[in-house]
Amino acid sequence: MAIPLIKGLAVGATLFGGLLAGMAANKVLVELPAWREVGVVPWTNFVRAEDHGLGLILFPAVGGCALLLTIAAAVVFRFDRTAPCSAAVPVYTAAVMAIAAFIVTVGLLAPSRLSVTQAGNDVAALQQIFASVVRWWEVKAALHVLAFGSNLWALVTVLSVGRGR
Amino acid sequence: MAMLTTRGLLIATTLLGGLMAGFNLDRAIVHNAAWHGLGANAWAAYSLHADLDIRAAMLYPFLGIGMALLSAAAAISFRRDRNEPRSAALPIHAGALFAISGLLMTFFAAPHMLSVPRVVNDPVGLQRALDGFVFWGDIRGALQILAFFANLWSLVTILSARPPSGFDSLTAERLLADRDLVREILGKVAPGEVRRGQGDDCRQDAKSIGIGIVGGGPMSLRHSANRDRLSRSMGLARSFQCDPACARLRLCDLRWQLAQALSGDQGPGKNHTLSG
Repeated sequence: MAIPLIKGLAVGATLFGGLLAGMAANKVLVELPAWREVGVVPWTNFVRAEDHGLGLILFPAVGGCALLLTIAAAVVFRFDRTAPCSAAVPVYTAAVMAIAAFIVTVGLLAPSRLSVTQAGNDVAALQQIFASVVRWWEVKAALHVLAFGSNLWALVTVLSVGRGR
Repeated sequence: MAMLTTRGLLIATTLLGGLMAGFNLDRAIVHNAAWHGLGANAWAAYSLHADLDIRAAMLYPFLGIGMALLSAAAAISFRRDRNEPRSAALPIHAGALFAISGLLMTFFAAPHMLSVPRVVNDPVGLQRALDGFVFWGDIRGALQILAFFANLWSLVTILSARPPSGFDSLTAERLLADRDLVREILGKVAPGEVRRGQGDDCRQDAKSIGIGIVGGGPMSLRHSANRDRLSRSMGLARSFQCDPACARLRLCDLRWQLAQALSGDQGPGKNHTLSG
C-alpha cells in the first residue's frame, strides 16, 4: 500500500514541481532581464496588474501543491521500510530544496514583492526593491529547478525499483 | 539498449516539457491577463526586450524544438522496442503529437510577435498583433502543457510496468524445439547439478526425444511429469527476476535456472532463489 502512495506523491510532486520550475525559470531567464531594460516603473505597473488577476493565486497554488507533495513523499518514504533505499538521496534532496525555496519565498522575496505597493512612484525605492526581487528570484528559481530535477530522479528510482516487487 | 533509449528520451523530454509547461502556464494565466489590462503599447515595449531578445530567441526554440524532437524520438524508439509495455502506446504517441503540434503553432504565433517592431507606432496594428499572439500562443501553450502531462504519463506507465522476462512462452517453445541448442546448454551444466533427482521415467522420456543425456543421466524437457517442473525453469511459468541484456546472458540465466531446478532435493513446488 505504501509503495503506490509514494508513487502517487512522486508523480504529483514532479507534475507540480515541473510547472513551478518552468514558471520560475521563465521569470529569471526572460522576464526580469527584460524589465531591467524596460525600467522599474513599467515593471511596477505590471506587478500591480499581475496581482489583480489569477496571478495572485497561481504561484501560491502551484507552489503550495508542489511543496506539500514533495514533503509528503519524503515523510512517507521515511516511514516506509519497503521503499527502495536508492531513492533516499533524490527524495530528501527534493524536500530540502522545496523547503529552502519556501523559506526564500516567504522570508526574503515576499516582503520585497509586497513592498512594491507601499513604494508608490519613488523610483529610487523601486530600484532597490527590483534589485532585491531579482536576487531572490534567482535563488528561488535555482532551488525550484533543482527540486524538480530531484523529484524526477526520485520518481524514476521509485518506479524502477518498485516494479520488481 | 532500446529500452534504455526510450526511457532516457522520456526522462529528458519530461524534464524539458516541465519547464516549457511552466513557461506557458505563466504566460497564459498571468501575463495575458496583465497585458489586456495594461494595453498593447506596454506589451510591445516589454516584448522588444523579452520575446524578441536574444535570450528568449535562444531559450524558447531550444525548449520547444528539443521537446518535440525528444518526444518524437521516444515514440520512434518505443515503436521499435517490443519489450516496452504496449499500454504506454497511447500516452507516448499523444506526447509526441502534442509536442509537435505545439511546435507547429509557433508558425502561427511567431509572425504576430515578429511584426511588433514594424507596427510599434501603429496602435491598431499592435492590438492586432497582441490579440493574434495571445490566441495562437494559448493554443500552443495548451498543447505543450498536454505534452508534458502525456510524457509524464508515459514515463510512469513504462517504469511501472513489470520488466519483460528473459523468455516468453514462444521463445521457450522455440528453444525447446532447437535440440542442438539445448544439447549445447545442457552440456555446459555440471553433471552433478543436473542429474540428481531424475527418475526412471525421466530417463525413458529423454530417450524418447533423444536428448538430455548429461553427465550420464537423462533429462526430459518436454514430456511426462517433468514437463511442468522444467517449464518453470524454462521461463514458461515464472518470469526471471532480472532483465537479461543479451543472448549470452539469457543463456546464462537459463543454465542457472536448469541447474537450480534440478539440484539437490528441491521439489517442484518450491521457488528457487536466482542469482544475478
